Amino acid sequence: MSGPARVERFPDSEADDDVVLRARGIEKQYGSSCGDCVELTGDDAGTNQCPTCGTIVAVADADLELHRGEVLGIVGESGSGKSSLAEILALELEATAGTVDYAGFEGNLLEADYQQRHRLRHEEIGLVHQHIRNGLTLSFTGGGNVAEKLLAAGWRHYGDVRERLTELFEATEVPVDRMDDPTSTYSGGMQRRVQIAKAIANGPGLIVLDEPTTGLDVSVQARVLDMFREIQREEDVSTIVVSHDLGVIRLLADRTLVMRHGRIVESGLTDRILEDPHHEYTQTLINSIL
Amino acid sequence: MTTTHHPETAQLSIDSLSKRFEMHVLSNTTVVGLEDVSATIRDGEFLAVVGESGSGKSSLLKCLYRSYEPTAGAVRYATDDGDVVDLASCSERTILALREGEIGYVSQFLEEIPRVSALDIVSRPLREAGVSDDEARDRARELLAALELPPELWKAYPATFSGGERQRVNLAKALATEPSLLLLDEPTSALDPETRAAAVDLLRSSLADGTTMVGVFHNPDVVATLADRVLVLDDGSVVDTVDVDAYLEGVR
Ligand SMILES: Nc1ncnc2c1ncn2[C@@H]1O[C@H](COP(=O)(O)OP(=O)(O)OP(=O)(O)O)[C@@H](O)[C@H]1O
Ligand SMILES: Nc1ncnc2c1ncn2[C@@H]1O[C@H](COP(=O)(O)OP(=O)(O)O)[C@@H](O)[C@H]1O
Ligand SMILES: [Mg+2]
Ligand SMILES: [Mg+2]
Ligand SMILES: [Zn+2]
Repeated sequence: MSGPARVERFPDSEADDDVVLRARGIEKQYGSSCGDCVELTGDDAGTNQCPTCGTIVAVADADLELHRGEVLGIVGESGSGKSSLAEILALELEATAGTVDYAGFEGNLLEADYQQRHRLRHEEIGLVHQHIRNGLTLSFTGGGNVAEKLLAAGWRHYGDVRERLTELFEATEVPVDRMDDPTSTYSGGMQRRVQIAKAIANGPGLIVLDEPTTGLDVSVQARVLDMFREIQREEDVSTIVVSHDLGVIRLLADRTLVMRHGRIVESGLTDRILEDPHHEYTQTLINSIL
Repeated sequence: MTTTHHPETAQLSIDSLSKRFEMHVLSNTTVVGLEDVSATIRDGEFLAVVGESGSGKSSLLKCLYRSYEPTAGAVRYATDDGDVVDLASCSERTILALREGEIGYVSQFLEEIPRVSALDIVSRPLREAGVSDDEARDRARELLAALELPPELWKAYPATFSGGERQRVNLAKALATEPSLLLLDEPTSALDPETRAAAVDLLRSSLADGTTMVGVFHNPDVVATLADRVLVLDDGSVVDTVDVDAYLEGVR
């Protein structure tokens, strides 16, 4: 078979400059490791719990790249390590091991000191938690929850803050006249939207969405996803979206990672993963939907 | 350097493309989708792909679009920028960029469409390519009108549309960005003869504008109207590549 050397118009992932985030060897263990936990767990072992010492290996050997403006999906069964990986990348959870290069940050992002972390979490990386109570203070007003994030980033003038809040509520389709009501009085869909407003408040470079549609009615789900897609496109923000729902992944993600027992077992273009799944687990996952 | 059949005008050169599916779940078998398929498609040409059900037509289109990952072989594609990219092996980022800018695909099955209006679905790819909202919507209206989708449906959600209505939305969406290469998998199967004729007219004018197409159509009249050449598949392999006239003689 003849053929020219592969010619690429666009730079390949290893060496290009539109990589926003590159993670290598991300690992998270719960427990005091016996030293063999990673070898004794994972996809081949069929468990994320070390048979010798009982340590949970929530994530191990996870490598990934995220490009500017890209949406990367993470799917997998409950307990496969999706949230753990996502929260590590959002600097909300301490990793056991791993390195993350992040555009504009010197050194390993996971080793950022306290002050840097604080700044990054408030200005650079927005996380929408899987569990609403971890992301919002329900006794505060919706406006107060979002304002907290603005104040942490140095906003001071009341008028400016109110103006920005109005903008954010409009963008995320939360009724502006509910801004001063306690968040506990909002519907699930509104709470999710307030979380998204909070995540995008300071124009982050990275947004991590963990199960953005959990607990929402199907029709509300569609609106939240669509609203997010619009914002994502306008702001051109790089996004990681975690979901066990393949419909969400299909709608949002350009590329997708499949996790099982704390490992990434397959990755590829989202439509390729859905239509031509290679890994046994992915095939089971897709078959169970069809 | 290589020898392709038409080196100066080849838009797409498929070289020994194979696709095998390893099924781990049900039977642990290997299914052959394509076996050693080669073909050259000239710039601006329409290549029709025909064959019985299960012969590999959809698999071929999906391998070109990379919704299937080819098992072996190469697909040399001449980009708008004048480079050559192997669609079978280039990076996912490259494929995504090409899909955004120059390679379109209309599937055999109707896509699941979220709660977005028909007009927004069709105009979105244009807006994402940087065209102004007004201009994008005008273009979308033009296409939907040409495909005879009733205007009262333009602002409705296609989730509730009939098969034929959805198919027209899919086709309009793919044509909106004027792709250089368009992959068509039975895009008119759910249309009545009259709307099918409208769709064929639209594809014809897109061909006249220089779009290269690879398409599966069951209707011989459509093949006769659009195709320059015909690739005949059987059991995943190429049986023949013939001019459309020769093919039609055989069919009639
Ligand atoms: N604080 C913790 N202490 C001990 N084990 C934990 C802790 N947090 C998570 N784990 C374990 O780590 C593994 C991965 O959990 P994680 O929350 O990342 O899963 P997930 O893929 O997000 O699941 P889900 O789809 O249910 O949200 C699980 O086995 C979980 O029980
Ligand atoms: N995603 C898939 N997984 C497994 N087998 C597949 C898949 N897609 C196609 N095939 C198989 O490949 C062969 C060719 O199918 P296809 O390309 O859909 O044929 P056609 O479009 O000509 O009807 C068939 O045997 C089919 O069952
Ligand atoms: Mg989780
Ligand atoms: Mg088919
Ligand atoms: Zn152990």
